[in-house]
Amino acid sequence: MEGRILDIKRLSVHDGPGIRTTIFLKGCSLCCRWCHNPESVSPKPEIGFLKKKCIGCGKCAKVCPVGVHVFHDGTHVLNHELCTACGKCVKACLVDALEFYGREMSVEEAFAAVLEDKTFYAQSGGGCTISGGEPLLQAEFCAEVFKRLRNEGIHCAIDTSGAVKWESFKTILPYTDMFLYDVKHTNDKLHREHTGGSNRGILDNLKRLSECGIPIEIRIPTIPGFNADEESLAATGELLSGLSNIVRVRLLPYHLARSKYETIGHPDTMPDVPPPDAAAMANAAEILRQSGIDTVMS
Amino acid sequence: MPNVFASIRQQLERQYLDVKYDPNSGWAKEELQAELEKHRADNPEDPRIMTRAWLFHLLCSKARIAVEPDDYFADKLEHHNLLITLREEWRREEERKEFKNDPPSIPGAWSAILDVGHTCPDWRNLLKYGFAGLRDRAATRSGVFYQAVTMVYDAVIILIKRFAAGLPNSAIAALAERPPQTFHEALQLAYLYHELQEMEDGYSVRSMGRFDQLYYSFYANDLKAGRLTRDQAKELLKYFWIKFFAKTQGKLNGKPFLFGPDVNEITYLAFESYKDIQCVELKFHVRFTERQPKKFLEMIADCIQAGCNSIQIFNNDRQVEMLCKHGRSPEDAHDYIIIGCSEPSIMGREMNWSGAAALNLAKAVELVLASSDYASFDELMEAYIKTLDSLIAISADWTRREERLWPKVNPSPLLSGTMDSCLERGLDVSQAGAKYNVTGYTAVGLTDAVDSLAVIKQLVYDEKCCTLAELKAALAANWNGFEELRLTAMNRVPKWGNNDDHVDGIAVKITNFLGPRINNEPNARGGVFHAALYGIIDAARKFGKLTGALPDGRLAGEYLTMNTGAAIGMDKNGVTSLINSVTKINLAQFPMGTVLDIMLHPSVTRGQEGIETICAIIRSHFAQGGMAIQFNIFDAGILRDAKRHPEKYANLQVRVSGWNVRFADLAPQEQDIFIAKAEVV
Repeated sequence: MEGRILDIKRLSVHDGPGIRTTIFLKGCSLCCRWCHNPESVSPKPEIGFLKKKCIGCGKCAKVCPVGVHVFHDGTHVLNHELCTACGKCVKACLVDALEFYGREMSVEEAFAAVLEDKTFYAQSGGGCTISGGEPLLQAEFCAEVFKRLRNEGIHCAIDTSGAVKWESFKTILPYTDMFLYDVKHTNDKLHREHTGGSNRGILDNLKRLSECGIPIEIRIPTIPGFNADEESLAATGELLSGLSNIVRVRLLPYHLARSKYETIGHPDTMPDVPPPDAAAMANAAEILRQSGIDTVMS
Repeated sequence: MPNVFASIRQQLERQYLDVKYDPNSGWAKEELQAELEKHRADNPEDPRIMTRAWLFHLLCSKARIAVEPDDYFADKLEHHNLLITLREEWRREEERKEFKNDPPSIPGAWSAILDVGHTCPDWRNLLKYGFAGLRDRAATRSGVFYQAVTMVYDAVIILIKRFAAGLPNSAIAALAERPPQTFHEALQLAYLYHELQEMEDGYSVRSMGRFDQLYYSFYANDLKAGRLTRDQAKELLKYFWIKFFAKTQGKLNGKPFLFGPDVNEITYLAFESYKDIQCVELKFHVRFTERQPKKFLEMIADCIQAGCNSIQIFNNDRQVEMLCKHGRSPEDAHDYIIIGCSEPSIMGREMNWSGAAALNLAKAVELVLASSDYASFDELMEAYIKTLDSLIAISADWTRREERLWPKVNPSPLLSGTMDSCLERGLDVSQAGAKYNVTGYTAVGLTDAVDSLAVIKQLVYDEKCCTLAELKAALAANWNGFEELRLTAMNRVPKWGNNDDHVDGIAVKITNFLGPRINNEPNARGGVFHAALYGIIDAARKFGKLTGALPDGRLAGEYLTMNTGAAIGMDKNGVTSLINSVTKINLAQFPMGTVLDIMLHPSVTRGQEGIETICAIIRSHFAQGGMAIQFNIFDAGILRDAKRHPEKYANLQVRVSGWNVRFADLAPQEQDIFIAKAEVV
């Protein structure tokens, strides 16, 4: 069995406890306006272009069968819409200015890659996190990787938006030690507007998951103009205070990701808002704490 | 004791820049020189150890001194480096005689020098007997060696009395008569001895010993007697640390202080005061074991996180085990300290001469390619190992000849007088008076060699993407006109430090040869050579300058990679993979030391979680067999800004291969190396 992988990040310290290896899967069921990994949204393979590294040698244009790469007055421009993601240009680029997003990786390969750092997990109380995109769109792949890792005593976490069918959760529940679960907004209308999907399934899944006895860390991307106001945060706090197995809430400050949108030739969907400052983050955390929930900031 | 360190810090930092020696306190340089010439002319038959002892005595009793009431430590003697000048005269004379008929060696392939700076006196004896006691134990014996020791310690006592006359009520006076009794007296003795040892042997990276073990009882006794508070002890330590910075302005290789494995209040006080004053010149070496309280390693990590990263952490239990395997008794092995950057040695019982010989592993690749063609990679690899073998034979021989010159060049009665075995045998350290006499042999440039061999294997023999002749042509042209091949070599061949078994296997093969080969080579003092695996920045520069273009894409003359890290920008899989690569090497084959440099981004080390991450990285490295580790935590943007605006980053320290310097004091090319390293984390 194979998974569609965006990236594997080692020494990952913000995706669950301890030192972890995070596998990012490609393909998401939402399309959040602030997404800082836009290359993870589409389930299809894509080519990314890192302008800073390009030396303008033109090798990519020579091997591309469909004319994606064009050079205008020495400027390298990509016609992303023509790209079939055959990957020839990525192989030809000797300076790694082109990246392939969405390679296929077998369960065994992923397992072996994670296992390399097992000493670090043991020494730090870390493990493996599968993130995305939405990892549970590839729930069976996750389950197979976790099954093997658990045999080695490695802690396994899923970082999910929750925007999947409950069946997908059922597939991985027996092999998962922890969930990192995004709650973006309790208001369905706003949720649809900003993430492209309803929050109903997400909140239903969260309720059912909270009854399964597995620790859950709630993650709230803190987006000014969307969910960083007192009312939204208080509503989220109230919702969470009624659930079991919530170990903490982690607030993740919004940060700009414009260059990543340029990399894959997508328009940045986020309006110009400055990231929340430290005081705003502290204030948000305080509101959630008033609901009796342990809240930390990243 | 008034708490005024902060207010006079600047003055203390400048204390050696323009010392006001009292002209009435002693003789001018010319007078001292004339007296020396007269003495040499009158006593042409004197053994050199006696001439040195005599000159030492002359300087202590007649050279000018300066005393500073604001300082807590008396030390300033205007000795004009006369002992070193004389030593260098003898060195030139002896080396000329010894080596004048030798054919020229291959530039940049190896080096061998008379290294007198890497050692450690017996600090325990110094504190136990004091200067007077050390004089007395030599004075009762007869023979030239004992005479010399007696003469230098007599001289120290004379000097102390001169200082004491100008500094009534100071800690110095009592040291003329007896061993130190208070914490202040003990530190005064340590600093004065340190200065006099430099007067005898020159600037060096001699260890200051097991600091917390040596000074704890003095501190505890003072506390018990109500003579000193914890805060006062901390204040005193700041005056002590700042002297090391003041002496060099942070521009030399630092002085090593050893802490642990047993931890006490002095350990904590030392790190607290270091963090308070962020002094660059210190080198804190920590012997870590899992038996220590958890908070100890967390305190170290906290310092590192705060940018006070002049700290190297050692895997204590494995170091002790390694030292036992390499000839030290278990009791002595437990008393190891670190000399220089990463070199384990036994405190007060060993002359380990760690900076004596070095081999350029990268140059050997160049030599192998120049000498022949090879039908297979195995054949080339075999030739490479043979090349290393013959370079080791040549350089070891040269080193032994240097070693034999030692007694004629730099006898050290002050140092020898501290060591029990020198006293028992009646031999100076230069005549193998120490209990253990080993010679350091450092393998430099492993990374460049491994990456280059990996490129040859993949591109020439496995993928046949170019011929060996084409590759050689590219190197001969310093890659000019071969840009595509160069990019392929750089970016299409996996490199050392990424946990790639194919590449790492080459490193394992080389190191499995080097360790036993070097460790079984006899030296000229009844001991053996001991292999080390690291490359300090000076070696990376000097050897790099004399190494041509390499198959891994490196251009001619560029710095080699320091220590055992990945080449710049090539550790694409990050720190965990680097550690996994490095620990495939049996590092215990390098009893003269090895260290791994870790570069982290500040986002990884923020807050309490960050401290835990640093601790876990250290523990993981050691759990996998790592011997020593050190850290730099930087954002590349900050370093770029610091390069442009040094004035904004006066305190920004960077750990350079084994010591710290201010980032602003690095050469631009060296700043770029650190910026490039920070770019990839």
